[in-house]
Amino acid sequence: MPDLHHRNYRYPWYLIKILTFFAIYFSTAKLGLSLGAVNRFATLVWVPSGLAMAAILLFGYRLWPGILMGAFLVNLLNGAPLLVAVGIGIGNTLEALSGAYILKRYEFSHALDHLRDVLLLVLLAMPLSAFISATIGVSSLFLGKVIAFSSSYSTWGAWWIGDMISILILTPFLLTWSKWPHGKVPVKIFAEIGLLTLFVLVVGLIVFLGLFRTDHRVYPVTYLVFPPLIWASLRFGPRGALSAIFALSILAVVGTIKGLSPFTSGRLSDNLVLLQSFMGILAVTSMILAAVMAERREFEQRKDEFISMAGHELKTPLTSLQGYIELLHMKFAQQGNQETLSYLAKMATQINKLSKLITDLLDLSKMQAGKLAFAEEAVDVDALIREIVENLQYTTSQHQISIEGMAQREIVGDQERLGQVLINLITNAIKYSPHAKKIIVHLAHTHDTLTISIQDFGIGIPKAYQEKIFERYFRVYSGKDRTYPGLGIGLYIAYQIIERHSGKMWVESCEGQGSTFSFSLPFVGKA
Amino acid sequence: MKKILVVDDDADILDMMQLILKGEGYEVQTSLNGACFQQMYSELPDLIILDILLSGADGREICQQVKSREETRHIPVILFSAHFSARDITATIGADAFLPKPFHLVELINLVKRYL
Repeated sequence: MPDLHHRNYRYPWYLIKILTFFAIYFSTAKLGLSLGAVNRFATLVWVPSGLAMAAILLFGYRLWPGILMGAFLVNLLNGAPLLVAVGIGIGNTLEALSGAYILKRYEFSHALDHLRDVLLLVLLAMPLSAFISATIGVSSLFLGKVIAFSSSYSTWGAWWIGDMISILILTPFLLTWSKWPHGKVPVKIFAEIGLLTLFVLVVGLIVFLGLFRTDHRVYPVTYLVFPPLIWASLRFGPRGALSAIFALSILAVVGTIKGLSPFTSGRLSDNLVLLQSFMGILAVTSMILAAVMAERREFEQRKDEFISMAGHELKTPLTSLQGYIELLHMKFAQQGNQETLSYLAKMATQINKLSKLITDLLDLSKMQAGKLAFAEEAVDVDALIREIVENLQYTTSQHQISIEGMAQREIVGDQERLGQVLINLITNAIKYSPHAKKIIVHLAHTHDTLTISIQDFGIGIPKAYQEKIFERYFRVYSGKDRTYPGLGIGLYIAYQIIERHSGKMWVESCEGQGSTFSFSLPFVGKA
Repeated sequence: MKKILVVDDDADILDMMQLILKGEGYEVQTSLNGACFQQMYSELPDLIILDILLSGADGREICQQVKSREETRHIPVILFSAHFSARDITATIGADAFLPKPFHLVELINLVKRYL
């Protein structure tokens, strides 16, 4: 049977997995027992719990013999009677299995990028599974007469806390790194990671290892751990937060054992209880923050995708409409049917408006996502302005749009986007000067800068609003201005485009007399 | 007569392109998903106008195929898309020009004239 053959083939691999896991479990357990165990068996730095739960979640329940063997052997060698060691082994195995079961049952995401995943771990899987291990373990010790009843409670407490912290910090740390991040990391992000790592290490050394020999009674500096953790959580999500917490935990444990951390007032086991509680609160706080940030990022990404798709779906019918209207226009122009032509021109104007609106909304969503790409090409500004003015002149029979001055030189930038800025400003000039007869486009240049101004003689902008006019969604509201509808994103987009070209944009305006919108661009700029 | 192949998954846009380009004196072949790319070998077009997001096919792949084969490499490809960001992949996939949708007839005709 092929299935049997398959199993036979895989059996050694399964064995290797269990033995490898057993070896890791055993060595980390040995290390834990050597660090401040309460009543010899209840350890506060218990790596195996977190390790075991992560392993079961990643490789499946079949790994359980590794846990049982590891926990049994390490406790036997630590001096526990045979049956007690078996009891502890069973407790530790059940801990990993029950924790993993709870998490799997409620579809826990290994990325911990949703609040519910963090809460599921912190409020349910972690306390419950550690409770099972601590209770079975301490009962075994008591029944095997290794500990007295009077010390059961303190042993149980240390056991429970030690296991919980391990499951809280190590399991998610391993899970978030179980998938290696793919994709190229930009240099800036790489530099930020380097800086953050340095920050975490320096803070860890100062707070937990007494760098600069700070006396914690005089200068309690424990709060210093918050800035790097918040930085990691906000910028690098759950993986970043957990990596920072993990690094700080190692430094904290080493510092506390060496008597250098703020948690050094009593016996080592008491100090470790205090330290682990502190680290636990830190971990939960950072994980929640990171998960909420990740949720927000996911939501924003979905929104961007939706807007982008909606824009596409809106533009496709517009393409047909515009094409057929222009075809009709050609046909009726040949026949000389003026009345129909004027109707078609109105339809074309409306379609243009709609098309511009959709483009603006798409650009805005891309801008917010930081995904608006810019080309870098030589732009003949004089030709560009001539073409745009010529096209826009068709849209107004009332205004005469004139050009004064010349750029004379090319600039480097994104022709399409710069055209968009000019169209936006001139269209605004037309829209907000309903009774004026002219609009002037001025060009002036120094040896390194080109300045373009669009002057209208319209309603102008009240002084109080001039600063705010380039802000997103900002609209000038006053009774009479209600007659000028719009979304308040055109100028924001124009401003951003000019800024991306290393240029500046500003407005000079006098209410009732008109406005002049200007922007300057460097001749050798970069887009 | 110069031949133009237009690929778009919207039948109305194909009809419209046919009307416009025939009016300009070109022979036009249309395809909803680029399937006729395979038949192209008997009679190669002189220009391809290609949408990127096609239902059931990928305009980028079609463009890359055209540009990777010796016998079709010389054919100019104009990408046209309602995604303005598609402009950024024009050079990457070897296309010659990009036309954002919606467009004015004169823009389309000028672009076609530049390559034919």
